[in-house]
Formats: sequence, C-alpha cells, structure tokens
Amino acid sequence: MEQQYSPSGTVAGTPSLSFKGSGSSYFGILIMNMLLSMVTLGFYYPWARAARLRFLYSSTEMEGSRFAWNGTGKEMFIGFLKALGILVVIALLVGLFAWMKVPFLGLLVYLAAIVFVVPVAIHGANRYHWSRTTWRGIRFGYRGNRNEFVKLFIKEMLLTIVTLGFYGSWMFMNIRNYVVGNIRFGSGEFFYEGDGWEYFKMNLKGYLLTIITLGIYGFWWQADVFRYNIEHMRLLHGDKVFNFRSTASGGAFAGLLILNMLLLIFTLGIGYAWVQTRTIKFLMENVEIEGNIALDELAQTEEEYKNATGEDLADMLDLSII
Amino acid sequence: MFTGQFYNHQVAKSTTITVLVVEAGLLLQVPAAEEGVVQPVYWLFTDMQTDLADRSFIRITHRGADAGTLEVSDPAFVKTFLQYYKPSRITRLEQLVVRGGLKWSLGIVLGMIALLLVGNFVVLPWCAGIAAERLPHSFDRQLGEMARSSNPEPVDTAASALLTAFARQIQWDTGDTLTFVVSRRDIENAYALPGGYIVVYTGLLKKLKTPEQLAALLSHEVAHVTRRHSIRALCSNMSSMLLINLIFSGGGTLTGQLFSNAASLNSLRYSRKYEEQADLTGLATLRENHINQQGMLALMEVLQQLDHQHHIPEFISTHPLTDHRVRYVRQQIAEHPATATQHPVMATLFQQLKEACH
Repeated sequence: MEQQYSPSGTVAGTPSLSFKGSGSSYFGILIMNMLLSMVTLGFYYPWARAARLRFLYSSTEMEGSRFAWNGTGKEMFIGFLKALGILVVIALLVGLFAWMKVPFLGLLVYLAAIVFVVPVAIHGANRYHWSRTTWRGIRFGYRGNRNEFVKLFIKEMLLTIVTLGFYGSWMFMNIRNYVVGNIRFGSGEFFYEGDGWEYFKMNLKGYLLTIITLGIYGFWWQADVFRYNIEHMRLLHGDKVFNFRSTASGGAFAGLLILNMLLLIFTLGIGYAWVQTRTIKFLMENVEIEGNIALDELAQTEEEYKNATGEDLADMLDLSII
Repeated sequence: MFTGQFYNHQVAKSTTITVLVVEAGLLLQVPAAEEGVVQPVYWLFTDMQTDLADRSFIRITHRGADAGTLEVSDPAFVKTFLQYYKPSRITRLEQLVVRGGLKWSLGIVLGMIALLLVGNFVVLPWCAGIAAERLPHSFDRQLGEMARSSNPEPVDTAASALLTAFARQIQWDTGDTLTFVVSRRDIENAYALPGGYIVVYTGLLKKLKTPEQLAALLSHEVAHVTRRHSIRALCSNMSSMLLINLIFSGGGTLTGQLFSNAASLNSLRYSRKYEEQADLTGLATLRENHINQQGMLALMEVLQQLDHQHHIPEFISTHPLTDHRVRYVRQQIAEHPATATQHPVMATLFQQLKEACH
C-alpha cells in the first residue's frame, strides 16, 4: 500500500495494524514445539520460543507489511545457558552461606540478586528483543543505559518498599517511561508519558468497582488499563508524530474474554492456539495510529545485538517486558 | 512472474517489484539508485533465509553484499517457490507443519498420542517385566509376610492342618515353601500371597463338593505364586514410577516402593492373561499328579453358580469367569488327555476338612 504524499511532504497517515495469523497454523507450531520439547526432554525450549515468536511477529501487519522476529533458537539457547549459570551461582552462594551457618549473608546475596539481576535482565531483554524485531527490514532498538536503569530501578524499588507498596504505581510508570522512552523504531523514537497518580487513581477505581460489581467491572478495568498503556505512547520522527489510540471497550473485552474461556473449557485446552490468536487479533484491531510520520522515511539506525542472556533471564524470572 | 514487496534495509520504503523463480534462486527486478531505473538482481537459494508464516505469506531475507528482504503474500508464489527451494533447506521444523497445514498438525497430535500409548502399553510393561525378573525370590517371601501382617486373617488351626495335609498329597513344582491356611470367614474366595502363603476362606470351602475341585483351586492359586503374578502385577501397576526409579536411581529405591504397596496385595486384581496362565499351569499340575482334570471345570461350575447367586459378585471381579475361560480349559483338557487315579487319602482329608468347616 503506497502512502499518499501531499506536495508539502506531510502525510495524512493512519497506518492500520492487523493480525493475519490463523489459529490452525499457530496450533501446528505449538504442537510441533510440544512434540520436540517432549522428545528432547525440554532442551528444544529456546527453539520453540523462537518459532512461536517468529510466527506471531510474521502474522502482525502494519501498513501492508509484516513485522519480523529475527531471533534464533541458538542465540536464545546460549542466552539460556548463561542465564542458568547466573541463577545457579546465586543459588550456590545462598546455599554456601546457609551451610556456613551465616544465613544472614545468604539473605543479603538473595536480596542483592533481586535488586541487580532483575533490572539487568529487563535491560538485556529489551536490548535483545527490540534489536531482533524488524519491520520492512528496519530494526527496532533499545538505547537505555544499563547503569542508569539499575540505579533508577533500585531507587524506585526502595521507595516502593518504604511506602509499603503505595508507590508501586509511580514506580511502574517511571520504569515504563524510561524503557519505552528508549525504544527506537529505526530513526523513529518512542515516548511514554505515564503519570503515577493517574495510574494509581485508575487502578484504585477499577479495583473497588470490580469488588462492588462482583467481578463484572473487571472487563472495563481491563479496557482502561489497555487504553492507558496505548494512549500515553507516542512515536516521534524528526518533527513528526504518531499518536496511538485504543478503541477497545469494556463490553468488547468481556465478549473476547468470556468466549476465550468457553473455548478453552469446551476444547479441553486444545483451543489455546485459537484463544491466543483471537486475543492478539482483537488487540491489534483496537489500536488506532494517527499522525503525520511518513513510515517510508524511517531509516536503519539501530545496531544488531545478539546476546539473549537478558531475554532468557527475564523469561526464567517470568518478567514481562512489553 | 510474481509481484512482491522489496525492502532495501536502508529505509522502510516498500517497493513493489516483480520476481521470477529460476533454477537455484530468485531473479528480482530491483529499482536502482537512479530514479526509474530497474536492475535485475539474482539471489541464490543458498544465501537466503526464509520465514513462512502461513501458506499465503513468505519472507525471504538475503544476506551478503546486497542485503534485502522480499515479502510475498501470494499462495501461488509460496507454492512455486517451495517446489524449487527444497524441503531439506527448510531447517526450521515448524515450517514443515506450516507448509502441511492443519492435517499435519492433527497428524502430529495423533502421533504423540500413539507414542504415549505405545509407551504406556508396550514399553512400560516390558520394563516392568524386566524389573520383576530382577527381583530375587526372597523378596517375594518378604513381601508376602508384610501383606500378611498388615492384614491378618482369623486362622482356623485345625482346618489349616487338614488343608496342609491335603496339599502335601500333591507334588508342587516350586522352590518356594508353601503355606496353606484356612480362614474362618464367610467369603467365597481364596488368594495367594507372593512367597507361597495361600488362604482359602471357609465360605468357599463349603461350596466345594469334590477333592478334585479343591486340588484344582489349590493348583490355580499355587500357579499364581510360582509364576510370580503378584510381583509382576505390582510392577506393572507401578511401572511408570518404576521406570523413573530405574533410570535415576538404578533400582535402589525400587524395593521400597514395592513394600509400600504390600498392603494392597490381597485385593490385587490379576489381568485375564495371568488368570489364564494360572488356569493352564494348574491343569498341568493336576495332570502330573494324576488328578482328574475335570476338577478344574467342576470348580468353575461352582464359581459360576456363585456368580449367579450374587448380583454384585466379588469373586468375578478378581477372577473373571467368562465362557471363554471355561472354553479354553475344556480345550486344554481335550488336547492333553491324562490318566487319573483314585486318591483315597485326599478324599478322606477332604471329607474331614468339610466337616471341620461346619
């Protein structure tokens, strides 16, 4: 699809996002992954993950072109081994101090590990993940500085602990502002302007109303969170901008999630592939992009980064990065 | 000639180009640096990486000097391309499934189910058999003793002495020391524990009419002992656990696992295969001792009557009494006719036993 240029060079751009993946193809991939993981006693996992991501990215289309996941099982396997090594060393240290009857030191190592390993994992995961994501051959990237991020993370974490968790919303927003703000789409730059107080108010309202309505408001809360995630993000390219909007309503979320649940129950879990493709399709269709960036002008600026240790650490610790 | 989108890896500009599948590669009409000029570029199959999302979309990335990406959303192109681009080059296994479609996926599901079934019904029982073979005979005895102490039976000493005397009239082909016990309970059943502890309830003894029936019953139960059916059944009941044990501990904790299951031994159900084996081995014992083989058939008639009397037959559940069972016993007798002699001692002992039970 060619974009329409006006003589002044501004574009009336509303690039569409859509998900083209079929549940049955995805099912085939998941089944193959399962079989091979079974046969290899789980060692196939990194390749299985690569296959899954490759399919999901290749099925997502923006402006007529598909996204691509270029990460490989081999990279993620090496990363997996390194990540495993890090976790084993930590576990050994904790065990050693326990054996030496100084569990206090063990606890200290454990806490230090959480405080340092988690942000390092998030940083590494973002570097790898975005560097391996492309659209029209143009790489995404993550420009965050590791030391800066670790400092930010520790500061926010301490504040959250001191305030008994009340600072959580602010911590979450500040971290997201930093991470998303450092994501690049070729020469395009992402920005996120989340506000802890607003986020806190929204979640408090959602939480209370969900309790009062015996869970029914949960769908609308979900829609609010999704809208918040999407609408505070912007893509800048030079002096041009793209804004993101969510069109997903609470009712639509209810329809999606209830049907997903029924699908899972009545197919005894086999419908998982279809549940996931339906969900992604729904989310993609409900994101509207508006602005004047000419996507054609995004240039290749980000370097390749093939170290998947952070990605695997984040996966092992079950940290979601996006 | 197909059309696709070409990206030059410099800017995110999408250019529609024509592409031709040729021997060993693709021929692309790529726009040159100058406006309006098109130059042919040849990509070798060996220099490209493919990404097949489904059967209507393929991404081909070319590495090397003139790096670029070609995306084609055309099932016809995907089909043609894959014909030339040999399947062996598709190193990613999941792409085979994507190519094959849902049929392949379902095939794999069936294959996985088949693998699990084979594992469960062929590999595991086979392993269980091997595990049972490896256990020493002394283990049978220990296991039997544990089962006995965990579930003591009220023993009728006088009747047990008579039953033992009766059993001594028969030559048992076994290295185990057999112990015969009569238990005073109104249950129409008998069972054998591993190691040779055989229990007959008075409830069943009362129903027996001839010494041949009792001899058949005992030889059937002894056959369970000599063939080590309890051990085998236990092993196959716990075969999955055993398999893990064998792999990870070389069988060290295996005996412990079996011991913990000793309590359930006297309610153990044998498979039809084991029952048939016990029947046939029992018949052989009768033949060798010149006891009338018809005793086995007569025993089965008694059991069948019990089956008709009770609506929820306890006996039938442990000893499946089907017509099939009667049929193969009859056939076996016809195939192996044997002379039968009178056993006056057995007859006397049987009579005393019957009286002792009342």
